[in-house]
Amino acid sequence: MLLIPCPWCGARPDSEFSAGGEAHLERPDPDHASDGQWGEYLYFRRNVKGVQRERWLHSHGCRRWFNVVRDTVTHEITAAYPMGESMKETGPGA
Amino acid sequence: MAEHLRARSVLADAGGEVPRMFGDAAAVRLTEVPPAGAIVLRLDAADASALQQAREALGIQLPLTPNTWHGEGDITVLWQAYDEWLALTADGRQTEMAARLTQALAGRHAAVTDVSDLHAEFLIEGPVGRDLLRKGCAVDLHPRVFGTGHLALTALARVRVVLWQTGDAPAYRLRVERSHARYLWDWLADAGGEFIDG
Repeated sequence: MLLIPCPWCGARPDSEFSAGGEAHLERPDPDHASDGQWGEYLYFRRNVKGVQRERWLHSHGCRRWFNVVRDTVTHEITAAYPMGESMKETGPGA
Repeated sequence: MAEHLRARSVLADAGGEVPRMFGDAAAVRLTEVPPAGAIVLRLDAADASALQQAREALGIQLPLTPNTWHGEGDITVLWQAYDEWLALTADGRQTEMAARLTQALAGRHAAVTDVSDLHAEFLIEGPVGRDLLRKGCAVDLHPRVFGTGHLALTALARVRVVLWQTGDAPAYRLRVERSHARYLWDWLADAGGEFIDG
């Protein structure tokens, strides 16, 4: 069982959460993005081996999205922080 | 017309074959709580004046600490998220409560929603109540970290519940969405069987 630290509810088992994939994706302006840029945004992810920033939803708890820094090899979680906080403020991780 | 509609027991469809109370007080007793009025309140907790107005409209402070609840008189307010609370009152008082809140928060980025028909509510009390809940709940309920005044939004027997402790005996209340309530009642009765004589 993976314990995920919800920034509000505290550490809870992973069965309470839904994974949301890579975090800090920037949505291009749909009026000006090329098909290529829009396709990149919708479908392409980096698939990091190592420390990754990802989104999680505490679906059985407070039902809020937040970001997690997790090592995809060891599953170690080193940080969890609310949506809207920048990567810079929360330390290393791809 | 609307005033003639009354909420029914979530176990009523069982035709009396399922008791609305189960177990005994010496070990653990499970009771279906009569329907309550329930309001979901959403507002920006960083807005002190909005909090103040909600407090005046409710007559009770909103709990700002995650995983806690606060009750006074016939009003209980349960923390739901950093910008969301569930306020419970006696059945029939919710319309007036919602109107007061809506008026107090008019013009603000806030939402007041009557959800009285959303949940069923159970009371679990008795010395082994904690052990019963532990069989299906991953949150640590040990009195060192979870006592009267605490609350958890979590999964019990894989179903989303709002669980809060109301007494040291211990006593817990839980609210579950109505469509899952019969399943959860049956699960609790089954899981509680080992603690109850006969």
